[in-house]
Formats: sequence, C-alpha cells, structure tokens
Amino acid sequence: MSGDRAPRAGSLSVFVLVFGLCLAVLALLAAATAEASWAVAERQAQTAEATYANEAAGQEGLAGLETVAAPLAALGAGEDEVLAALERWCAEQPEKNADGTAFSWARDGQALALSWSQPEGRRLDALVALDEGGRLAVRSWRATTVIPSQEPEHLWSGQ
Amino acid sequence: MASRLARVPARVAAARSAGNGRWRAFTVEAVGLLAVTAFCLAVVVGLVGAAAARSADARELTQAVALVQNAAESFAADPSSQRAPELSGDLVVTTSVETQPCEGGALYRARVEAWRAQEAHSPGAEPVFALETARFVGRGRP
Repeated sequence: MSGDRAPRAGSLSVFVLVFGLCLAVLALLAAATAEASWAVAERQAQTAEATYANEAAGQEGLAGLETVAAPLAALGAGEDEVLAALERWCAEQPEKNADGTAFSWARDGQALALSWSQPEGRRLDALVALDEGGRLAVRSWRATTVIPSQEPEHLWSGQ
Repeated sequence: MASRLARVPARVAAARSAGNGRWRAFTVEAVGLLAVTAFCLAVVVGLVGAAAARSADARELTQAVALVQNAAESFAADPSSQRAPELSGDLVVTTSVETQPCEGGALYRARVEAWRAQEAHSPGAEPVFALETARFVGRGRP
C-alpha cells in the first residue's frame, strides 16, 4: 500500500451523497405512486358506494310511490288523482335523509321528475309516469356525476 | 552532498507519514459513511416496503369494489334468488338480502360485502369493501 496513492478525503462522501440522493428520489417516487394508487382506489370505492346508495334510495322511492299508486289504480282512480297522491307523497319525504342522500322532485307534465343525490356529487334522476292501467312506469333512470364548477377536482393533492 | 543525501530518507518518511494520515482519514470517513448509508438504506427499505403494502391494499380494494359491483348488479337482475358466497382470488363476496313486502310489490334490500378469504366473518375482522343497494319489484311486472 503506497501512501501516495491514498484516496482524497471527501471523494467517498460525494459518491455516497449521490447514491443516497438517488435512493431518496426512488423511495419518494415509490411512496407517491403507491399513495396515488390508494387515492384512486378509494375514490372508486366512494363512487361505487354513492352510486348504489342512490340506487337504493331510488328503489325505496319507487316502492313508496307504488304503495300509493297501486291501491288507487285498483280502485280505478283517474291519472290526475293518482298523480296528485304521488305528489303529496313526494312532498312528505324529507329533503335529506340521515345517510346524507338528498331528495328533490318536480311535476313534469303527466310525469314526476325525481332526483336523489349524494354529497360526493353522484346523482340519480328518474322520470316516472303512470301506464294505461294506472300502474307506475319508469320512463327514465339515469345516474350521473355532478362536478362542482367552482372547485376543480383533485385526484390526489399529494397529502 | 552528504547532508543532501541525509535529507532524502527524511523526505520519504514525511511523505509516508502524510500518506498514512490520508489513509487514516479515508478509513474514518468510510466507516462514518457506512453507518450513514446503512441508516439511509434502512429508511429507504422501510419506505419502499410501506409503499408496496399501500399498493397491495389499493389493488385489493380495487378488486373488492369490482367484485362487489358485479354481485350488486347480479342482485339487481334477480333480487329474489338466494346467493352463495363467491370466492374470487383472495376475496369472498357475500350477499345478504332482506325482503320487505309492500303494497304493489316487494322491496329487496341487499348488503354486499367483500372479505379476505382467510378472515371472512372472523371476530374483529372488517370487510374490505361493502355497499348497500335495493331493488323494488312491482307485482305483475319485472
């Protein structure tokens, strides 16, 4: 071992510093990617939950409307009479359930436009009318997502 | 001339001494850096391990959501039939249905859950993902 060939102090530090920086970047990228994957999966789970919460509320609404319409149809009540009874039923429903589902409705000609929505923005719009026998008929059943225009959607803010 | 020759071994000794000093400094630096590197590696391995676990959780949740949605759609298509737990990969999907007869039809409420197969319904365990849905079937119509 020749003393003249001894490495300069600090050269190893530079090498380790670069190596450490590369490892730190690698670890941060791995952590950020994993966290983003989790955020996407959680978002997907929330959307599915909200979609089916609306679906459940809508189906319960249909059951409630049918409970009102079926006896009247059996008695031979007219369309306007049944629709008026359905409107009264809708007016009695709370605007917001305990689970956060909001309900709104409006008369749309000879039909009722019903809407259920979740705080996350998932919404279900249904149009129900009466068929020739006076029974409830679903004319449309549409699930949508409302994105608030003021607040841009951030999939994952990095926190 | 003689004094000049006498100074040569002294210069060699001084150079050798300086070289030894540099080696000593290098060794001390290397040992210190080894400790720092070991610590950094431990932190990085921990971080990458946590990231891998998080990714696995995300993959499992995504799979659970897909399976639960499949089961929920299957329930919506035929709410009155009984459903056995379905095993898919490491997850088991269960569907529990309650029937509520009402005027003009029946309202079926379902709770669909995805469990890890090894801990399905064991005490203290929670489903990976669960949702509730319902389906109203009017009398005389599908």
